Order: sequence, then C-alpha cells, then structure tokens
Amino acid sequence: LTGAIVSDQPDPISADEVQRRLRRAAEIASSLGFIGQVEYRHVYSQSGGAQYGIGPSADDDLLVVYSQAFDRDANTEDFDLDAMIAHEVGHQRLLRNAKLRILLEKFPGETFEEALASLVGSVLLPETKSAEMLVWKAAAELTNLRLSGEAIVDFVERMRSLLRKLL
Amino acid sequence: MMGRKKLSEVKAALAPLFASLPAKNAKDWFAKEIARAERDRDRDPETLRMLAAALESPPAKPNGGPAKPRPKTQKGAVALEEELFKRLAEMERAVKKRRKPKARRRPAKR
Repeated sequence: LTGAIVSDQPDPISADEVQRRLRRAAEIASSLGFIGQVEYRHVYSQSGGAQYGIGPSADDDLLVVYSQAFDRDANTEDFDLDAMIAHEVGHQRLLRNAKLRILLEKFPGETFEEALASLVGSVLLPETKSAEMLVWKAAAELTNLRLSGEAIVDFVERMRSLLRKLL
Repeated sequence: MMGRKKLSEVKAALAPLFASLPAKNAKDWFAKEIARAERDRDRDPETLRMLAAALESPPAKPNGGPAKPRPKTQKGAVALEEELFKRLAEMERAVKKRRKPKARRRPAKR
C-alpha cells in the first residue's frame, strides 16, 4: 500500500496470538459451513477485515482474515468477528450454491451482491446480534440504489424469508 | 469484501431510510408492520424487529446535525423497484412450487 500512514499498521503480536486468531477465525468459518482454506494475515488491508477468494473448486476457496477484523471485533461500536466472517461465507454460498447463484443472476451488480452476501450471512448466523448487524449492512447497501425506505424494508424481509427456504 | 464502513456509519446510513418511511415516526411504522407480520404466516416479523432495532440507539452523525430525509423516490428508482419486486416474486413462486409436496397417487382399488 503506497502512501500508508505509519500508524495504520497493526501492533506486533506473538506467534501464539497469531495461532489463536487463526483458530478462532477457522472455528467460526467452519461453524457457518465454509469450505476451503482459512488464513490469518497480521496486516491491515483495504478489505475492511476479511476477504473471500474463489478457487477452482470449493476446497480451494480462500477466506483471509486480517488483523483489522480483530481490532473491529474488540470495538463495541463496530461489527463483530462472527458477522464479518458470516458475510464472507455468504459470498461463498452465493457463488457455490446453485440455488443461490440464481439470485446473483436475478439481482446483478456489486450492490446487490454485497447486500445478498450480508443477508445470507445473517441467515447462517445463530446469534441474533451478529445477524442484526448484517441485516443493517444489507439495508444500508441498498440505500445506494435510491429505493424508497419501504421498498428496502420489504426487499430485506422477503429476501431473508426466501433465503431461509433456499439454504 | 466486508468494507471499511463501521457499524456506526452503517447505522447512520440507515437514518434517511427510516426518515422516508410513510409515517411520522419510524418506530410506530415498524410496530404496525411487526404486528401485521405476526398475523401473517408468509411474513417475517424477526427481520422487521432486527431493522427496527437500528432505531433503538441512533448513531452519532459523523458530520453533525440531524439526518436529512431522503428525497422522494425518483422515476428511475420507481422502475427499478418494479423490476426488483417482479424478480423477487418470480423467485418466491419458484421456491413455493419446488417445496410443494407432490400429491401421492392413491393405490387403485381392486
């Protein structure tokens, strides 16, 4: 990253802490049904904390969790780790599950893909608070389309019902 | 990608959405919708409760000042809404059809 401010870098952590973070991220991802590799990188990225990468097969898919995700998790005013990982798992489901892939065809574009990933993640999560965060994120994404508030609420409500049936 | 927007910023982005709901008070609107959804098996009161929860602790505005109401939905957005809900309804119908159990044939009486 060119021109990064020096303070925008993570503080050093021990090798044990790196392993602990990796284990925690992998456990959450696995509990949400993620297939593939989970990595932890102790660097700041532009991703916001986590990123999904699609491979030649689901087993080759990659979920990278960055140190920012743990900083954000520690901040009570920000997304928790479960929500961040669930959003990325949502991307995997949308791309790997044939029933869900139809949704990406019906609702194309980055805004919808991000909103749908959050809604899928919110349905996968067992914990209401984390799921709630992703529902808000999805609704906020949809405001970019300049839809009415009523339409966004209706869309989010109906899409979550639909996803429960598809997942 | 998760994006860099903090949860508080996400909540702030929802303020205009709530302001555009067809009621003086978004809380009242959600209370009515939740009550309606609870009486309708095809609706999802849980999602409505989740969205309404964003009203509980309004976020601090990053730039100060109260949230401005959204402008009325524009022409293009109306067309998009129509298309959006047409596609959603298609999906809902397809899922309903798929989930409907096939009627079993009764064995022929001898």
